[in-house]
Amino acid sequence: MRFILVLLFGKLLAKIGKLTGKGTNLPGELALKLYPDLLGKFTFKGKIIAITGSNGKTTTTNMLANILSVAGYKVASNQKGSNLTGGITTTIISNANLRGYVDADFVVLEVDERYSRLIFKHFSPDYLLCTNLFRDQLTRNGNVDVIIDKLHQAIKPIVKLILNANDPISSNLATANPRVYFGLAKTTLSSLTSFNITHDAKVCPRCYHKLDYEYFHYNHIGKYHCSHCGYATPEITYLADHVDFTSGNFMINGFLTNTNFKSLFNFLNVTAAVAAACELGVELKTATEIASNFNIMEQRYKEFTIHDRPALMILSKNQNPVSYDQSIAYILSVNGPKTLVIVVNNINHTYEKDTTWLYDISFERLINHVDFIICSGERAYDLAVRLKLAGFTNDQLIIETQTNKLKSRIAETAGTICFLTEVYDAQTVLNAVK
Amino acid sequence: MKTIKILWLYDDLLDLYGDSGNITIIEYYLRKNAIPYQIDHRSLNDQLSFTDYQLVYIGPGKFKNLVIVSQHFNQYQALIKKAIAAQTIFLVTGNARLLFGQSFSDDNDTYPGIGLFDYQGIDTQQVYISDVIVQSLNDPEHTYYGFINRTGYLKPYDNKYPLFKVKSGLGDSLGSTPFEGNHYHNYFGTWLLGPILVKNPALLANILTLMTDQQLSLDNALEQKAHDLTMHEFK
Repeated sequence: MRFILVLLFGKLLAKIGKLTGKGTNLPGELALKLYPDLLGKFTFKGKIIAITGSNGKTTTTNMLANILSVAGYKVASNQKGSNLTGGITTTIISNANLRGYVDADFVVLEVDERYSRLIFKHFSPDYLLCTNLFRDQLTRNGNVDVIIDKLHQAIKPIVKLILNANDPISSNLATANPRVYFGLAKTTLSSLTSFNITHDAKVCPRCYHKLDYEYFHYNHIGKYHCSHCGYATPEITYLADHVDFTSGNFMINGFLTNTNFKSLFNFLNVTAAVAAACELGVELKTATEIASNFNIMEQRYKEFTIHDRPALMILSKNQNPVSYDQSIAYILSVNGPKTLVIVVNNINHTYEKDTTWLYDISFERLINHVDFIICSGERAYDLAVRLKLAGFTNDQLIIETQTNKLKSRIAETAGTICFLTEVYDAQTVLNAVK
Repeated sequence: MKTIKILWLYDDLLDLYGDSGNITIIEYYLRKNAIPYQIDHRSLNDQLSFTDYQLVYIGPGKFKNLVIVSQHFNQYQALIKKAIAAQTIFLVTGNARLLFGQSFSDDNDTYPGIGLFDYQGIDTQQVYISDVIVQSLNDPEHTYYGFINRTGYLKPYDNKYPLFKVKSGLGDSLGSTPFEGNHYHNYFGTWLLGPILVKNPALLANILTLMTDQQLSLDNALEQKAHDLTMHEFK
């Protein structure tokens, strides 16, 4: 009886939340306060698949949910940004009937890697897809080892893992569990040495000896081999190859696939979503066709104009160097003269003044590719120092701490205006320049 | 002109959070002053030697990696102590300091350090994160900003060779610790992690002078402004 009351209460809050456009987390959080083991009380018609990892999980989750829905299945999935305990609970409450039965064919859940242990305390997914594991926002997460320990505690022995063969760190998760790998063959943009400062797998995750790479896609993602213990890129069941960065065409196990976001890491995200769909019973041909029609760009990319000049905004994850490296890779693909606007504030919510993470981002790659950089935000001067050390000259750097003056400072520059901002700051910046 | 030699130890295992920034800014000013330099990276598979180096740098890492490093590092404890006694500059940041104490422990085990200092380190499951403001004990007119993100601390000990006086934030131990770090000959050890030499121009100038035996010309107005603005926010 208590379960039904809490469920009704949660559903009501979720409905109100939906109407007001807020509250994807709160209904679940409140329900859990009233009924702490609520998540253990539901029954599911279909399989549950959880998607976690440092980067790319929102894109992969949304694409997988889209493939399954278009393929004709009933799918329950959490909305962007609600991947903590409260958001997951809200999703399940909203999709359950009053007996606590979720009649979706598949439940697709984006799960924050740090909260996986808490979320899966009372129920377990049937499949867990891990996109990759990197150093992430250290101010919240601690280091990669802390995340791996939390994931290991969350993964029950029966869970089938869908893993990125190109990532030596996440490939090594829960080695006793059943598993299948997706991966990406060498592309024209893959390199013999890593372009990036952030490289979290210089040593083998098993024996700590030097890890050798045949090639890198980006950061520590690539084809690797440890000559000491033999740990190496595993056999790939879902292999992407023949990547054409101009058209966005590529093949997954011989089936033509296309994506409109033509960055290396994104080809891996699409392959991950297709691999998961196939594991859940969708035909490969169908999965690749549906994935090819999915618009990824609109989720992390905006185009507009300022002073009649083309402008684009690429969102990076907060204090996440790999996400910034990916945004930089995208900026490098934009043709013609460019002005970059980078906004760096204090750490959101906690307001620490740390800018250490800027030294893990390879700003050096932008030298000779952008004409001006406007440094803005509370930590604009710290950013300017970082860019000076990367090799930018004084006359290329414009420092404007106040975002409300950005628009007039942009008028002093030329070329396409590329905004590099954190997800958290995006709206403030857009409001300031529009 | 004499080539400045820098030894960066275990950067494949101990590289947590922007640690390369310290080397980047040293390189930047050596280049600007046309001073030839060389950076050697050494790790587990290498035989270590400390002679001829002006600077030895060790940054923080994941605890598991630190344990592995310590087994290799401890083999050289006599050479390391000799190098420090011979005024070789050591810059040791974050939990790499644990290597230089008596021992360090986690829930499972205790690992020996090289015993240069009296402290014992403890690694916990908890993460301590904060801004830290310290005052230089050598040059009390200088205050520095740093950031910590650590799971360890030192058991309270009699710090005979403190580097900094803590103005705000966490010091060597948990709770209120008056001092932070160690300064012994030219050994500089601090919990402050990441590019502390970038964020604190006076500290960098001091290290560069020690390394090169001369006052380099530093066009560091931008770094100074970034530092001053940060310090102003703590007033």
